[in-house]
Amino acid sequence: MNSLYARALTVDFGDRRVLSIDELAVKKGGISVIAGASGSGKSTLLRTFNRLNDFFPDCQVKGLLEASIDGRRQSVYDLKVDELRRKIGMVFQHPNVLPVSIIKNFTLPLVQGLGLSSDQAVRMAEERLKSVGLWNEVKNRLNSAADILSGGQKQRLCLARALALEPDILLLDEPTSSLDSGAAAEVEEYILAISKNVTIVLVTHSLKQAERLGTHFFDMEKINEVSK
Amino acid sequence: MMRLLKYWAIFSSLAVSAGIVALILFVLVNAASSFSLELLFGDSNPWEVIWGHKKAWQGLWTPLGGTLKLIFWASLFAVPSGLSLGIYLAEYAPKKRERAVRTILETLAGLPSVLAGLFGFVLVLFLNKFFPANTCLGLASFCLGVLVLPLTAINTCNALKTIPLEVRLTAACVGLDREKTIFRVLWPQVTGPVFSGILMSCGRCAEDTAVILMTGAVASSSVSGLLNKFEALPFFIYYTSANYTDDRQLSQVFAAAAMLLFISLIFVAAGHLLRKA
Ligand SMILES: Nc1ncnc2c1ncn2[C@@H]1O[C@H](COP(=O)(O)OP(=O)(O)OP(=O)(O)O)[C@@H](O)[C@H]1O
Ligand SMILES: [Mg+2]
Repeated sequence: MNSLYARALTVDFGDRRVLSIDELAVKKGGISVIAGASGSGKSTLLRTFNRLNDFFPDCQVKGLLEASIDGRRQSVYDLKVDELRRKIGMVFQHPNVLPVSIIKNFTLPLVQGLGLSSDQAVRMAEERLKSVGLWNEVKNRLNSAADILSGGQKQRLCLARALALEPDILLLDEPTSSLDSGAAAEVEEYILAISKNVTIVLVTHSLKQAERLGTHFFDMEKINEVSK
Repeated sequence: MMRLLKYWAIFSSLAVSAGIVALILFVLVNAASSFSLELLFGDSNPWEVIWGHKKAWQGLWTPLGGTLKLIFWASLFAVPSGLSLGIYLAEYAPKKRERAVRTILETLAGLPSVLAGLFGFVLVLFLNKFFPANTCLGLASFCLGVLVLPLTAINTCNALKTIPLEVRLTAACVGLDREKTIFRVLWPQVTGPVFSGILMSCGRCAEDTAVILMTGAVASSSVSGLLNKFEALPFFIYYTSANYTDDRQLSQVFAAAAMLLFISLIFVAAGHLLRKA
């Protein structure tokens, strides 16, 4: 069964075409790795699935885009966009914590977005922070600014935050490339661990990382007509 | 050459600071002789004046109150509208409209305040065709608000626009919709700079003379209220310094100036504190 599916997909920025993909099917489960040179459109491709390219006013996305969400295969345009983005989580190359406290990074999306009670949200935060090995490091300073965490800690927080929304699919855009090797190894370890419960699409520059983590592989230079 | 420039810069900043300090000292020294309860309340009983039973016919209490009321009413009108307009421009308005409105606002912000006063004056002339209208506290506050509003709006809009795109992307990625992103994530980021800007423009509101001169400030008002003429510190200074008959009155002018300086300083300082916090 496919988790993500794209057909006849094109993406243009202004009048410049950056993506043109005949067909792409990402299997459910495991870690699908997308590799390719810089500028080959990997990030742009990931952003088509959670409609994040909407934020670039001159970006035009065309084609069929489907995702399996809640066990149903549906067009990404059929869901409400914030619902879609909860179900298809994303973590960026640079650890993007919200400029609020550690705990608010969880309670804002969970309470304001999802509508949980703040008790439920805090419990969920604890659980997810534990699953990325961050709980013990932050449990005594949940109310400090998330900005003060180290790069690796931030990235694990972003993973935990994405997981807290119980996504069906998690898009990881070079999640370790801004980290030193120690922190990167740690993050990789947790990515492997969480891949048991959620389908992961991982973009990476590093062939080694692709080998270590990947269960399915895509070469951007092969699937993207533009960069052939 | 660079050296010369450097010395000149140091000299200029020293000269300006020294000038300002000298001015403040001059005002304070001249005002000092009149600092007393009488300065505020004249020969009225302070308690009766404070509780509003009586009016202080002399003294600075009434013009001081007038100035504070002006600031209050002006910001009550200008701040909410300026904030909403700023948020609208930064987050909702289409690019073209944003640019157009921004140009208008920037023009307004650079408007000499005497024009804002003239605007109020003309407004009254116009309204007079329909019912008996006159210059008053409400009108003056409105015109001062017209000066504060564009600054607030531009300031808010700019502050929101400097927030990096990543923050918006992140908020979107965790399923926050546009409203929640704006009000829960972006807005708390800008409250410091935005409100410090507002406080600073309130300081400007306090000292502006041209506007109130044309919109209802008087040397002595018998009733207070939004629809009545009012007293205010800058007008007191302006009027009394032109008409003083003895040294006591002159030192009252300096006392009023010191007070005005003090109010403006409080607003500016509060603004700075807020910016730091
Ligand atoms: N907001 C944008 N506006 C205009 N062009 C863009 C924008 N974002 C990306 N592009 C262009 O789209 C192409 C693909 O960019 P993208 O970021 O998807 O590449 P990438 O494969 O993720 O590269 P990297 O490995 O460096 O992250 C590039 O040529 C880039 O210049
Ligand atoms: Mg990229």
